[in-house]
Amino acid sequence: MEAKVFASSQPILSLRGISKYFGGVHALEDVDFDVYPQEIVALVGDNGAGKSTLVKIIAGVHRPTKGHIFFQGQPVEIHSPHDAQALGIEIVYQELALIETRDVPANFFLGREPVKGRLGIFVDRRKMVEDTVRTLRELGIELPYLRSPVRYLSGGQRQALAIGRVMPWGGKIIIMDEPTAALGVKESRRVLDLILRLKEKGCSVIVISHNMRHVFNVADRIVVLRGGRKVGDKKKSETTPDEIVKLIVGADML
Amino acid sequence: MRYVEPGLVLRFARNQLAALLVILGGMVLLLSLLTSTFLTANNIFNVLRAFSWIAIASFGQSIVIIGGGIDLSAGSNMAFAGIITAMLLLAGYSVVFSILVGLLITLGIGLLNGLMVSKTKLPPFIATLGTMSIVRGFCYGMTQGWPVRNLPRSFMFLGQTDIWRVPLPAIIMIGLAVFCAILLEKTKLGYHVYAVGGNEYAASLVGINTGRVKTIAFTLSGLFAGIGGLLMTARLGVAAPTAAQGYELDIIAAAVIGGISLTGGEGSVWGALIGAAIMQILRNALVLMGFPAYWQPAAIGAVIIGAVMIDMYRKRKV
Amino acid sequence: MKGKQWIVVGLVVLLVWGCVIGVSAAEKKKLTFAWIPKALNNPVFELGRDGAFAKAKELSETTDYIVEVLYVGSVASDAAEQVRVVEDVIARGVDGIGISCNDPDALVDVINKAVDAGIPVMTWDADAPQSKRFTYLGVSNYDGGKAAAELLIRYMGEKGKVALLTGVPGAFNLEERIRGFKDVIKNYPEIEIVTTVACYDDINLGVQVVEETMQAYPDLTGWFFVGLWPLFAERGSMPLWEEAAKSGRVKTVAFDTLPVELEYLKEGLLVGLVGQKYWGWGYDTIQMLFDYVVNKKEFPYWTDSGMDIVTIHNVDAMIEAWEKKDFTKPLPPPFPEE
Ligand SMILES: Nc1ncnc2c1ncn2[C@@H]1O[C@H](COP(=O)(O)OP(=O)(O)OP(=O)(O)O)[C@@H](O)[C@H]1O
Ligand SMILES: [Mg+2]
Repeated sequence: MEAKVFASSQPILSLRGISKYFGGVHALEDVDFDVYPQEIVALVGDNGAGKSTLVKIIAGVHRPTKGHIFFQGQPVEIHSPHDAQALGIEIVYQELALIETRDVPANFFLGREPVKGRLGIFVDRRKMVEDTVRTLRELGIELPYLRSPVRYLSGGQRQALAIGRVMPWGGKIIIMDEPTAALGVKESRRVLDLILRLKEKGCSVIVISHNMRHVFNVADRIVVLRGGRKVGDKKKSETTPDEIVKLIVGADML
Repeated sequence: MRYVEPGLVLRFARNQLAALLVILGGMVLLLSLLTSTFLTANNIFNVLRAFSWIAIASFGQSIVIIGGGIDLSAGSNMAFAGIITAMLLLAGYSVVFSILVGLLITLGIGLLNGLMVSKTKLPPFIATLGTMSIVRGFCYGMTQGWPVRNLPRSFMFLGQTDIWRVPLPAIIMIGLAVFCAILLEKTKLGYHVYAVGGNEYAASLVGINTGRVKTIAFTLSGLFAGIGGLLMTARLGVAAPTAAQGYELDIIAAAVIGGISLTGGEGSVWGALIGAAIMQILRNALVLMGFPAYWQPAAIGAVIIGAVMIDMYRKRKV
Repeated sequence: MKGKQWIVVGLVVLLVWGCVIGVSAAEKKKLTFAWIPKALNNPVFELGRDGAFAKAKELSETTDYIVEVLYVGSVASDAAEQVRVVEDVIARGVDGIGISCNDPDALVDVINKAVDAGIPVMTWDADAPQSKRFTYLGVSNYDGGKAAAELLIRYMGEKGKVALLTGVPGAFNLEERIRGFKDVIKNYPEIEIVTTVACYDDINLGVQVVEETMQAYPDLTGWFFVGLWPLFAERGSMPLWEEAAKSGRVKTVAFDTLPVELEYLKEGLLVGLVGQKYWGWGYDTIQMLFDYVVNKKEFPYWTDSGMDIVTIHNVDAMIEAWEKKDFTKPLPPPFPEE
């Protein structure tokens, strides 16, 4: 049924038989996962279900214990975050991955600071500041002093910064791990809008959330993980929040 | 959209260096009033020379601490560089060759520290505590406890020459401070050092090779301790196996007084420079004022705590 | 009961057997003495070690015994580590121990253990007075300090301003020297001790504080270096002091009699040295152990090793002794005119 719906397009990203063990912990067990072009996939599941682990495998943070990754049909190995970035995969981590002691531009370009000059080692600070200001302005993110350490920002401001900084890189697949966790109502709405706009621009988005309203608001498809296994993969139009919640907690619980 | 920058007063108050300079200036003013001997060219240049090697070693230490580590082997490295170079000089090798080998060896010890921390994941405190002892053991073993003396004048020149009355070691110190400041504040590597020290996990999530960054930081610390040790050896004309014993604490204290947080990710080389100056001026002042030797450690300890407390208070306030 | 008797019988058999061997083969009996310094990283102890070896060689050549010296110790001064070294020596079994104690109390138990095990122990340089050691060979640092003060007054005169340079404040031997020095100076109301600076046994710091003191007290006339720390540094490291010393404005007396200091003395930068007999630490200790073990000689609780006073008048003899590494000849008097 589903296969027919998406038969017209190839998945941009496919994971096949992915398992990830941390010592004795089986964080993921034989998971298949697809993302299609211009699709918003919601990844849901209880705490510890393996959602973050799955997206970190896509982002090159973890190597899968078993399984294969295909990008546009080609098998790929993603050894590091840089490999993922090179494929056009951008991620907003649940942990935000900000450096508290550094200012906004330094965090904005963390790990890929623009360089100038022939040596290629000197950071182009002016470009960093200008691009940061422009992007934040475009996204409507308000931050106080740009040059203060990030530790002076509020939780929501930090999350906004973490989301904002992946935007300018032209990623094809944007992953957001609980992007609205620390946000107020208005700010959450903005992020959902942003996700929809990204789709319009041609991106695919993987979004992890515990908020069913948010999920049903934006997602085209919902993938459910439980105890490291994939237990559901539903088009939004063919499911209900109730069914998803049942899948999340497991039928045996009801 | 409001991207206001802080006002001048706030920016000044937030500026660690400015605050440190105020402390330093206050000390200088007080001492010039209290003694007739402090503010003489002779004394100032003496102070400059005397703290230059500690300051130079503390630049390397700063890079390590900002990167989230600590290097306890700095004092031993200072002594070892001096001993290697002195022994080669006595064996008849040229000044340039002897110096290069001395520095290469401490650079190698730094590299070893870095690899132990990044590859075998030893805590920096333990890894460098080990090398501190190993290197000191080599100092004793290679000299059998005797200071190495009778070094050629052409080597001692490095430590004893003045250029327009300014001691050469002080000039080298300023040059190295500029080098380190540029490295930390203007280069990609410097940005990554702050990132690794500020939040190592976050740095690894965004793809920074944290192991490489740490290894480079420790290597530089080894090298800079070596440079400091060589200048000290050149100044004294003797390489003692007991030299610079306990200096690692002065070196770390200089960095910490200079506002470099031991938790990493913060601070600047200029801070370490001023921190080293504050320590040395304090020592100098205690002697000039005839402060009893028996009470000096207490005074120095109080100043370390005081300086760091002022810095923390300032951070909390603004 | 039975067991004890067997041991006695065994001992008698051993004794007879030993005599028979001794008489029949006329073979030399071997004696091993452990000579344990405070640390292996201090060069003055090496001189003592050389003295110990020299005496061992001498005894082996002139007596019916082959005397061997076991030179062991902790690398750095560390009482706990030294205790371990003594334990090892006891376990290994030696005929006597001469030790310079890192701590007067920490070593008591292990010294007593050795004595109880039948190994006689004497201390040298640094004592453990509460232990069962049979004697202590050492100098009175207090007297050394007094001698230094008398030397200084002789050259500087009975008035002036004096500064003291010490190592680690609180180190017992240094404090004793200072106490002796001050007790003499007390009798000269026109001599003022203006400051005491410390260098924590560090050459670099020593150079620094001497120069700073020269800076702070331009009218200084005398120095007492309670140890030789800054003198290890090369000429040119202490320009203010050197200049004042060369011109004769400042007279300096220092402790110890190492070659570096002798050079300074010969050039007139130092006026007098008071030194311990490092060589004797080994040379005399081995002799005393030998006398105690072989000749059953009695020793007083404390044996004064005496002190070397070096001035321009006898510095050459001292330099020669260093060059030949032979300190058996007595030093000529420091002031021949008397
Ligand atoms: N680096 C790691 N080392 C060991 N175990 C890990 C590691 N990362 C995750 N785990 C374990 O793997 C399992 C899945 O964790 P994961 O973070 O993927 O859950 P999650 O679905 O994102 O949960 P949450 O909703 O709480 O964020 C958990 O049991 C977790 O303890
Ligand atoms: Mg998670």
